[in-house]
Amino acid sequence: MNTASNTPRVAPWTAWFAHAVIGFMVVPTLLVVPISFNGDQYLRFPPRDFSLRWYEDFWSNEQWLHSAWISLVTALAVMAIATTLGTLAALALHRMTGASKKILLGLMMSPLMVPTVVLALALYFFFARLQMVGTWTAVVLGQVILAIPFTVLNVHASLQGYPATLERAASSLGAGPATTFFRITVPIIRPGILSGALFAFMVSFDEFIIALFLAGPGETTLPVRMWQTMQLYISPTIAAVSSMITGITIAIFVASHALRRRANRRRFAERQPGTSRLASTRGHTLAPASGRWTENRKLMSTEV
Amino acid sequence: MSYLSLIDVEKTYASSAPAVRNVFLEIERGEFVTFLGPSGSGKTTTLSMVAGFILPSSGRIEVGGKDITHVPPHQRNIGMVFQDYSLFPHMTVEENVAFPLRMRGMSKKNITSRVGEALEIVGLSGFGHRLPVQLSGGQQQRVAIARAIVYRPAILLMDEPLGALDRLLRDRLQLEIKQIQREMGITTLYVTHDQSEALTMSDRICVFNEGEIVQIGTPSSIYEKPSNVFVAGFVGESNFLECRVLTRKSDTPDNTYVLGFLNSASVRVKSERDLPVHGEAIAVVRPEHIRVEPTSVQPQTTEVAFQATIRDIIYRGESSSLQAILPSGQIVTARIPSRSVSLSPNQQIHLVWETRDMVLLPNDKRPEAVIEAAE
Repeated sequence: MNTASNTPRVAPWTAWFAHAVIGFMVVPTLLVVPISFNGDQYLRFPPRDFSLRWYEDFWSNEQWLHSAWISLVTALAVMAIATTLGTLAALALHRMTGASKKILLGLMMSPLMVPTVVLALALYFFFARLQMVGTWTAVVLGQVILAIPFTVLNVHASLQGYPATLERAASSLGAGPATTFFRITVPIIRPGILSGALFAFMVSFDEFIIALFLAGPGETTLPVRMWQTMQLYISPTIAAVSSMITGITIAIFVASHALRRRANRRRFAERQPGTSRLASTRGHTLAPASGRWTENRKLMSTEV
Repeated sequence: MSYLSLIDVEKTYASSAPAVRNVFLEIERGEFVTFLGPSGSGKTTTLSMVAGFILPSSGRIEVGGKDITHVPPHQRNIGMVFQDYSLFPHMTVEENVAFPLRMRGMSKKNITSRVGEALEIVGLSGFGHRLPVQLSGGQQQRVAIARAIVYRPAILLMDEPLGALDRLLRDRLQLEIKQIQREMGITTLYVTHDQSEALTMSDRICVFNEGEIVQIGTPSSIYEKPSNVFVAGFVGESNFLECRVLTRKSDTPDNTYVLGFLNSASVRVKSERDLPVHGEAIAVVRPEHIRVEPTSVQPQTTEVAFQATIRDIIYRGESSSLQAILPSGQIVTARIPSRSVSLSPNQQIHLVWETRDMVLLPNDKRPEAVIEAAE
């Protein structure tokens, strides 16, 4: 618990600087929230009076609701496909070694490096050949590409420190391959699968460029609808939508953090090999913080 | 009739020397056999082939006369204990131990009693509801052992099970494992690179080197009659003295050779082994067989004496290690009582041992290379 005592002392200006950076990252997003409760016709800050009219406007507008529905269904589809593919890929990667593993992992991460506009344009031409531009399927498939790195990384990270002999142990004890997969492997990587799925959901839910390029008029997702609305006039409804999306995002990440904590409690005993280099260099993977071990143990021994 | 047979088992990986070759092994029911060797010597690969995790490139593995070479691991009824314990982290101790029984479709009631029994055998009754993460390394390995024996498998395989534990715990678990094995009468293959562990626990030891079994025998025969320089260097400490076979005496029933050592008198030694006359040989002497005497003392007729200069004396607790240089420049290590206060570096001494404590081996390898491999 007492981790603060272990942190080295820092000069006050470093702390101020850090706080300033955090403020810069968070405040613009949060400014939207008070604006959304503004009773005025225009986006105004600080708001002059309090009103829920823009939320009401959203919930009573057929078009907004339709877009929200499209976004939700798309995100769920992307989540399902990307999680399945990403989990299988991570399992395969876990068994590989050497250069081929690195190359393959690099290829799977490439959607993170390639600018999304480039990807969207390429997909546009690709799907144009297949006469799929303007279809919901095209949007889903395009967003799956963006989501797969996150599911691969999360599952891959949850496989780290998982003794390679666990599957062998299971088979020596009489479990066939299918039983081993569902009784041993899946329970162990479940937190990675779940948080990968949440990431995939979020990637799709607020994805804009691919949806803009590939979606037809009937499949306008929420971000695209917001953009279209802003082209015409800037309505504070957008602030209300933004606030709700931000709220959902925060809720999802809190949920994923809770998952991670629960998973950590059941992780492996001492002498766990360090989390992978990959996990430590990429901020968004879910590597268990090794410093948390003693804390968890304490937590558990009180439970017993 | 042997119970477990490995018949000319070989494992080759593409584009490299065979990982394992020429393995012939007959193991009796209830026997405790240890695979001993440095890392990369093929001992774990051989064990994995018995477990079914690796398919041999050629050869056969039989249990009770039945060929199991192509039987998948989960149908072999073999118990295995791994160095990293390999407990299922999401299951409690009880669930871990019950797992193999559940796989065998046993009834709930039977499972409970069998799990209780197994946990009692390894001394962990009352720990059933804990998670593996809440146990120490030694306790986790006990759970792993319980899990591997609870279904009374035909064969128990252990892959360096004590490798991750500290020394005191290791010594204790060695005895416990041996006891459990003897009481259950379970045929056991045990992999280790720790020669003292192998000597303590085994009925027989197979010494592996470079993918081959270089010697099979009881611990005492491995230690006292190493069949080659590698075994002599890997199992216990040894001094290697290069020599030349001068003549063979044919008037005695045994082979008696006259050996010439560098800068030293010739020595008569009996050997069970045929050595080429006029060829190079290596005489192996264990440090504990060497006595240190003043230069004035003359050796008995059954003894050999080498003049030497003390280089260093290293205190090791129960004994000390004395290093002396022979006139040939070779360093010989002797084990002496720790209280030999009369000895000090640069002193001239005689190193004396009985000729029957010497093992003669053909000089097929440079001993330095062997010692390096052993370390």
